[in-house]
Amino acid sequence: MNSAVIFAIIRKDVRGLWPLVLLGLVLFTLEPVVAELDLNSNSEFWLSLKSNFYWLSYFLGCLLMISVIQQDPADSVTHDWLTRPISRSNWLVAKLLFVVLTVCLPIVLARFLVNLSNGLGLGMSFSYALAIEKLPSLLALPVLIAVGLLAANLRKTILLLVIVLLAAILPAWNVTQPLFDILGVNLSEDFNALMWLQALPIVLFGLIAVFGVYWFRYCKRDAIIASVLMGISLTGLFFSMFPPHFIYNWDTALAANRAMYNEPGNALEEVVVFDQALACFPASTIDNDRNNALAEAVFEQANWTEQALATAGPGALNLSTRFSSRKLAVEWFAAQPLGRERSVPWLLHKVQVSAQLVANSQAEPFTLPRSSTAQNRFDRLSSDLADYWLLPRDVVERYSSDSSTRLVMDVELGVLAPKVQLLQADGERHYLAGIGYCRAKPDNLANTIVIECVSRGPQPALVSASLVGIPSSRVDNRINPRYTPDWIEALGRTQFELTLRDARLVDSTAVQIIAYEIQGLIHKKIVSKGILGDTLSQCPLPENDNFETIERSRWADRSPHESSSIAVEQDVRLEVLDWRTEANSNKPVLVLLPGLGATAHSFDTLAPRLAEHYGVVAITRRGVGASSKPGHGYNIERLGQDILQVIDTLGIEKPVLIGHSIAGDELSYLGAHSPERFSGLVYLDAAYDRSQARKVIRELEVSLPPLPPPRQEEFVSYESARRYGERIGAIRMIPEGEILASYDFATGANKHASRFLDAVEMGLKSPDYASIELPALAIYAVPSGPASLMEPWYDEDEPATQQTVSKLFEYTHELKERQITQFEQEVAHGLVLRIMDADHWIFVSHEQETLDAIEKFLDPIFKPGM
Amino acid sequence: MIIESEQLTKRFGQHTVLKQLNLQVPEGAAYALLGSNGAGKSTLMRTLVNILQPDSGHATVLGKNTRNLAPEDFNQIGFVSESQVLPERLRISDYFDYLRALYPQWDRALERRLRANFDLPPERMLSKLSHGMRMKTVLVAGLAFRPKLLILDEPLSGMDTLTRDEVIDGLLEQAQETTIVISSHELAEIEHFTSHIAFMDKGHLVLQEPIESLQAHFRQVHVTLSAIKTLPSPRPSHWLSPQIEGHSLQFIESEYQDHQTLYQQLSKHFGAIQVEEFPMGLREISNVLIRNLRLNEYGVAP
Repeated sequence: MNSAVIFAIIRKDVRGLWPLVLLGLVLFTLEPVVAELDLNSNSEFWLSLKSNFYWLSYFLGCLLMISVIQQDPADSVTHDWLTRPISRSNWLVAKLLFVVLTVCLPIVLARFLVNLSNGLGLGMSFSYALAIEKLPSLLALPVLIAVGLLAANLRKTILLLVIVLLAAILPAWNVTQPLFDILGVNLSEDFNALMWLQALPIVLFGLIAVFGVYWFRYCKRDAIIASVLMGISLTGLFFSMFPPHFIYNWDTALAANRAMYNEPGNALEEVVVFDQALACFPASTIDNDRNNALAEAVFEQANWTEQALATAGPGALNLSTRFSSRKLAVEWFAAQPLGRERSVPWLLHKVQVSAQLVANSQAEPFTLPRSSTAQNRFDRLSSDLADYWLLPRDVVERYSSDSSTRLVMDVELGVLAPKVQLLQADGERHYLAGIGYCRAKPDNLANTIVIECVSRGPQPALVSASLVGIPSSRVDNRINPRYTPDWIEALGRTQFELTLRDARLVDSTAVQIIAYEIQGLIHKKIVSKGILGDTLSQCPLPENDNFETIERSRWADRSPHESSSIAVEQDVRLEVLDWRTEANSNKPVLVLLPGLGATAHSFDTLAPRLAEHYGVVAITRRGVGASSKPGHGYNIERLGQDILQVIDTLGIEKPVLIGHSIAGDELSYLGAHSPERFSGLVYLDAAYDRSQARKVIRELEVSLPPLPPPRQEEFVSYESARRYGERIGAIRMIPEGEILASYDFATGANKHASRFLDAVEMGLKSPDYASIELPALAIYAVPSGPASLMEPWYDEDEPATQQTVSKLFEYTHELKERQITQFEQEVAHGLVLRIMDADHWIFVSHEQETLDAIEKFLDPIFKPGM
Repeated sequence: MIIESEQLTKRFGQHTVLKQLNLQVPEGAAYALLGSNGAGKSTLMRTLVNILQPDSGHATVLGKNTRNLAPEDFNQIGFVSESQVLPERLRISDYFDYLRALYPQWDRALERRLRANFDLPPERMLSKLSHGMRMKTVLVAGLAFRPKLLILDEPLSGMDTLTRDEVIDGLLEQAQETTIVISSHELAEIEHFTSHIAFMDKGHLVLQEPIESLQAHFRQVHVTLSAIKTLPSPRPSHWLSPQIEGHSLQFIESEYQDHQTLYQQLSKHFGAIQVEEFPMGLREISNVLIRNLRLNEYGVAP
């Protein structure tokens, strides 16, 4: 190694390439600055310039690298350097040093300064500056260098690169596809998140190309072997990108990742349970008119390619399987600043899904083609598993005639465990363990919080941000979690930005940053009876259209109320149902407040009976039903203000507040803070301190089977829903108007956006019973024993279920009694009524008892003389 | 021998450019490699410095197989070619700064002198040099480290006479201590200082000889015939370019030994004659050779 020679070569190359070096210096220095720019401009040009600036400097870096190599090319018979006494090791070191000086140094230096100005410490600024941005972009470098080494000039380089590029897009060309079939390359296979494995041979072949070409072309001056090696490497690269099935397939990809992530005996499989989300999977024949709105929607969601439809043939069945995963595994953390424990569920990453039809009469199972173009194809972290399949006509006929037919789905899932940290939304950079430096900047005008993180070294598989306690506000930093092992990421640096909407839904002085790590890959087999999720008699194929389609018009809000919309704040109006008539206009007024995720229609049956003696008004809380859904104002103070605003507008004086469930908190708040505005409070299974941990109840509840979904024909009308209620053994029927307002007919699930419901829960405070001077009645639904918690759809004989239900009873009983005692002791004029074995919808399951208790309670208030 | 090759063959695809050459350059020689354009001179020279590798046969330079010539061997070998690609963006002075670092034995004084003699402007960029100026620069770059062997591929082509003389003066200065192999398509350019001459034609090495021996066996022969005669058929292969006009025969004898032998040969064919022979200059010999090569009259000895 001769430093004089090395520096002479570098000096010569810098002089030879100075315009490019200078341009590089500018671009490389600007790159980190531009990346940090806070562009307020909406101009497409500036935004795209900002996002592509990295690639601009990447391109220039590559150009510089190739150019400096080709200052002294080996593939030449005329270059001066060929007959100069320049040892190849000196040459190599000189070229490397050149790249370090002209490319790496400016980048690192500029990045270092930007880091410093961003408030990172000296050491951190430096170590972050050293890490490599966009690690995957380095994959192409070895090939570029090898091409640069092999070709004598830029023209030949470009020619070679064009050939390489053409080879890479070969698979997109129809003509070549039969050839790929012969080679066993399945081009439609997309290993998405597991693709990192392919990066290893890509790097390997790239390095073979670089070192092979360097050694044989430069040191041994053998053009033929160098070209052959280059050819071999490019072929290797090509087949690393498009691996033949017999070498790399799902089995090998999964096995490799499992070997890496799965610890023996981790029992992850048991953590995940899938429930059928719909009683019958929606389906339609592809060439029939889809007069059914659901079938139409499903066909649209499937988004089949013309080719797939043509292959399936006429009369094929488009089928969508729907499952929901139960969040058995959650992480709990204390949600500062409220100090309340909140849960963050583990995530499931859908890696691959396949489905087969199996029947005893059929020798071979039929593998269903799956839509890879479905609208939800990027939605791989959803807790709902929706997949779209095509069944050719003849297959439908063959399998539908066999009663042993079952649909077997094989689901490969990555299991991700969360680690939650809180980030102060103060616009300052804070260090988050395992993630890096993050900054959360609130934008009050847009009601958003922009979180921006820089991190180096091994990364979590996925990083998400969410508003504290609002899981549905989660935004992820990538579509697929990264399965890349840590040692690959060790050199990398990532930077990402996440924008949380509706920041003022909750107190957002801090936000949750969640780092998910892969716990392992699991396989779940889900077997459904029949083809559509149940037997043919329960879930008939769409052409035997013997049930009525769901029509909203068959449902009606039949309660005799006036509906109005009352403004409580700018752009916020609440739905108010009014049962007052001329006849009872002078009677004392009751204001009814529904529970969480329910509307004023909850009282559609109770209110008319109360209206016999009182004026009755019910209010739908903000964020639900026909009321406005603003992105702010869900704390208890604001919710209480909403109620005061409505009674002010309606000119109601000193009403009695009656609240169901969570409305108990509004009652307690207003009772303590505005007692002069009300005459009394009635809690309908509502007087609880909800700020206490629900951890145990949730953990027990989630391991019990969920409510079975209704069949389609069970939700065509209130009458049919009643039959569903009977089937599942429900002890109460929610009023028709409330089902119409709050439930999804297809799944039977509550349809209100969970972000607003969570926001209400997050805005609660412990009730200040001691400050309540008003007369108050608390009616509690109290289970008499475990049997009353045993839902009809549970398997009573299952020991695990029995055990869980017993535990649940013990815990809730103890909790309720404690809370009841607290109410009795702390509320000065508090009365308590227990109704045994009532439903939580106590005024529905035990309407008469409730009415009697209310009247008995109200009599002394409104008729003090009696 | 400082350069020696055996059956050296080089092909480009179907085209054989060097055909089993046996080259021998003694140490200290000023070896002129002549031949028309496309004869294979450049390919031969590039093969000798391992820019190209032979397909069969081999060559040794400074006792080393050319395939194994390592970068450090170029401390002893200077190579100058008219088509040399230089680091164009460098100024002349930068270029010499660069080269100086590469050679431990670089002779700074010689460089300075040559640059002064050649009148090379130090601030001029290499890409802005005229052909002559460029060749002078390259030549200085090939001379200043005092190589043992200097291989010059058409260094004088396209130069005006004045420049050429300057360059040759520069070369002559070195000729004493360096073996020089110089190619040209015209002998006239280099005849002053060559000690050996080789002719190449279509990949063959037609001839290689020291100048003295070449001059010794080439003679211009004038014969006055006693009667009008025709040339013997077949005529001796060593009679080149014969011309008969009336009583006068002129040809070039390429295997001249002495007057007696020549006279006897001629009288055997023509009877009573009068013979005059004249020694030839190098330039004339070369012209004859080239002409004859073109006419393909010369019996080729591989």
